[in-house]
Amino acid sequence: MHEMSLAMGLLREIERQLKPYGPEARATRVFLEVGGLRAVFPEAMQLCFRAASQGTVAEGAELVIDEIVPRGRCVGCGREREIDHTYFLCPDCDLPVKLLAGEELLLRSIEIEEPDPKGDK
Amino acid sequence: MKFDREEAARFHRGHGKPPGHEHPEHQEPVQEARHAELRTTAAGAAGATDTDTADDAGAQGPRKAARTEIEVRFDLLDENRRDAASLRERLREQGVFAINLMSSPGAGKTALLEATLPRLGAIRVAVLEGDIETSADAERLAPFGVPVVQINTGPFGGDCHLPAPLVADAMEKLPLSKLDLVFIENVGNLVCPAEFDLGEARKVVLLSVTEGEDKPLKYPLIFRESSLALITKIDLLPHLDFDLPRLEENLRRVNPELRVVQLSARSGDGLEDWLKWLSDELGEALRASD
Ligand SMILES: Nc1nc2c(ncn2[C@@H]2O[C@H](COP(=O)(O)OP(=O)(O)O)[C@@H](O)[C@H]2O)c(=O)[nH]1
Ligand SMILES: [Mg+2]
Ligand SMILES: [Zn+2]
Repeated sequence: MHEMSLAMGLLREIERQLKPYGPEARATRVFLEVGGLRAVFPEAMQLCFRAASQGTVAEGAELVIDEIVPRGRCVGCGREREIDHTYFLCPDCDLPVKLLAGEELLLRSIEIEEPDPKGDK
Repeated sequence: MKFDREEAARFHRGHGKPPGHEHPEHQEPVQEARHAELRTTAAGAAGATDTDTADDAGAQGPRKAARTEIEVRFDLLDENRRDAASLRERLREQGVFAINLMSSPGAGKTALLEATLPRLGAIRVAVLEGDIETSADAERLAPFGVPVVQINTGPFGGDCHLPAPLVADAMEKLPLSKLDLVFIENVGNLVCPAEFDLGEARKVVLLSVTEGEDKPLKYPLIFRESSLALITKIDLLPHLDFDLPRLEENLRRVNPELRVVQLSARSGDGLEDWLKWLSDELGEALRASD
């Protein structure tokens, strides 16, 4: 599954992002946006993330996947609406729909846990 | 990776269904909504939960910990996209037109190449073979006397698609300056290859008439990403109960701009249409680079 190579890229980025926070910083939650038009299955992503995060700063972190509903605008009538991921024609005009959302595959943010910065350890 | 693809596909089909989706806020441009969520969640507050999580994180004994949410906005496909972009630039400089052939296993990619290679006349062509297990396809193409490079995806953890860096490496084994056209036979799969740009000039998806008419609705992305769909093995149509008009309507639904050609590598029917498309696209690319 390509989710594994995506999860590995995701973890490389998480490690990069956490570096400035020192060796003890950990990722506790990882927020991902997945558009409904992507061939990325949330379950597979969860499985691969869990496997790929073993031994990394994100081991045990929660992967929060936000599924983005596809939206598009008809090139004819200009009407904007949610679209079915298998239907890219305007139901009114039978003309193509231009995509506005639904193709995301984005690491949006990371919740990082650091030891108390005041050094109270 | 053990994962039931049918299960996944079934789940994925549920994706685009708007009713009951739990994120109505995303009707707004998504970028706006998310800044508000960024905050320090428990900045060292002396709460029991903090201590608990510090334990979970593997510290020896209770301690205080601070949680901060940082915004990242990293596109997971960017890494591959960057590699693909530099390969695309390299191929453009060398005047090489690359075509990424994608399909489920057995739809007829190698058979199409066997039928196409002898008919290319003066076009200087090479093939990258992305088969996982064997070099059987590369051997099938050996008699045609064109450069063939086998790409082995196995050692890279991915067994379902070609990623751009592997294709870029394989391209360097070809005499690019002496080539006009490179076919990339992707790994047989209708899901994963669709997500990975390989620096190709065109993506072509093959669908055989022994597969269902509903394939475009089950795997829309690959049909959306492609410029051309080849409906293959049409010599078998008389023996099948295959609804071609329905397939064509399904293709139009998922990609109104998709070109469609029907062919049989076995009988040769429709091959001229494919070769015509090929020489038109190639000619256009050659003219553009002058
Ligand atoms: N009847 C018929 N069989 C074909 C045609 N093209 C390919 N095949 C057969 O389909 C099987 C798979 O073809 P192959 O080219 O290896 O598919 P690939 O996995 O996409 O490369 C082989 O047994 C081919 O002989 C065709 O046009 N007509
Ligand atoms: Mg093959
Ligand atoms: Zn319309």
